[in-house]
Amino acid sequence: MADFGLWWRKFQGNAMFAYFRLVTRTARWQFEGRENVQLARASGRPLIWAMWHGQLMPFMHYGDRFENAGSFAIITVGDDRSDILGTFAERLGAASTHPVDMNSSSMAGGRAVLRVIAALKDGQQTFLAPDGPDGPPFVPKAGISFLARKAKAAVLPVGVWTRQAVQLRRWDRYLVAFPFARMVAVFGAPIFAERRSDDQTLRDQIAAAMTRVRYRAQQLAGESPWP
Amino acid sequence: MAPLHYTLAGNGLHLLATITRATGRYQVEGVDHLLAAKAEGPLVLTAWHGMTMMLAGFFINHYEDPGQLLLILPDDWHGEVLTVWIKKMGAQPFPMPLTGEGGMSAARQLARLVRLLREGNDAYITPDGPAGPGYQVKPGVVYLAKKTGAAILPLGAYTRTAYRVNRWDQYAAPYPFSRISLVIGPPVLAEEETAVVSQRIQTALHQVTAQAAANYYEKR
Repeated sequence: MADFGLWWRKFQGNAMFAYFRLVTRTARWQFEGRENVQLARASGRPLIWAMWHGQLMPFMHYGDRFENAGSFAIITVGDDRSDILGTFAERLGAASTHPVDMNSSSMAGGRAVLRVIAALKDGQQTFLAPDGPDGPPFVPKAGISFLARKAKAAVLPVGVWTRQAVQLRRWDRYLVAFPFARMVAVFGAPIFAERRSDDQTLRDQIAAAMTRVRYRAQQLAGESPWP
Repeated sequence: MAPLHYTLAGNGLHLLATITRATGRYQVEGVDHLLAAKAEGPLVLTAWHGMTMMLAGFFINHYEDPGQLLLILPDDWHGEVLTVWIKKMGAQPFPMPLTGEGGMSAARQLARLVRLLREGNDAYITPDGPAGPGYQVKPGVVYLAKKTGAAILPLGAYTRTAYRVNRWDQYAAPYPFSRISLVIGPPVLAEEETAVVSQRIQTALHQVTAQAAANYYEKR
């Protein structure tokens, strides 16, 4: 094998996808606030689904089951992990994948973000965990408000939870659902970003909304937020 | 003199807290926030109700004179049990009528609390206590901070090895020899409207608690 590392990372992406599909196919769903999705859609703005990093996987089950994967522009981290996640996103059937180097201030990173904005304006939607990819948890970074303002997007806070899952022992307590999980998805009211919105206020608003829906989803699933 | 069963329960809590404190290993982040804010003036320490047992030991270790710490508690039987415990720890219990029906006596107690804070004491309040709803900040903390100019310091705690009481706050009683991760967040100042500050405290409390969990697993 010419590049075992690359092969191994692609294999991981494929294995992740196989397990992911199994869970998507067998999960059962309960919703709250689904009218907010329609509300955000009706505004005609590009849609950014926002959730904390730990709930990415359960949210993607929702997207895989109820949304058209071909309408998503997926943002991944720009290092080694992008091979795994890129393979995964490709298998999902995402419209485009955008590896963004989040640790540097290089031009390449900026260009990738511009491509995401262009994709959003082009009618694609995206999802974002603003405390990713490496934390600190629950502290939103500047990306989400920047992206939302530039694309004049509707940010839709989502909380997804299930008790039939394992919470990984890492910074974001990443939630990996088991097959046949009973999932709860809660959608908050969409937050409409304007180009002139104050960045910090917008970010605080999104963060508070994301925490609120996360808590609500946990409540409906019958769990407390901490741990 | 408290009735016998209150004394027993209070002593039980004290025993639990002492064992936790004596055998627990604390990993703390953000002590400099505490020191810097303390140099500025009085503090209102806040944490979610369920974290109290994890935090108690650290603060007794930290305060040279725990008598400077006022613990706000309800004036019902819960409060009486907690009073026994808090006195044993050396801190000051401060019973408040929290049901909203206290009338004049509540107002007098509040005025006394404000005066004590201005004299340099610190207060500890669980903003979702004493009976929930969990993880939601009620306006009392902000009111107190506004009246006294105190900085509000959010505290988060986490341990995996704890017995969790199955109720609204998931009250955590750490097992002996637990590793306990504490995070002290940057102070929140009560300079804006009450609703805005409440929201900010709520966000900050979730952040420090999440950070405590993150530190527990990622930094040993």
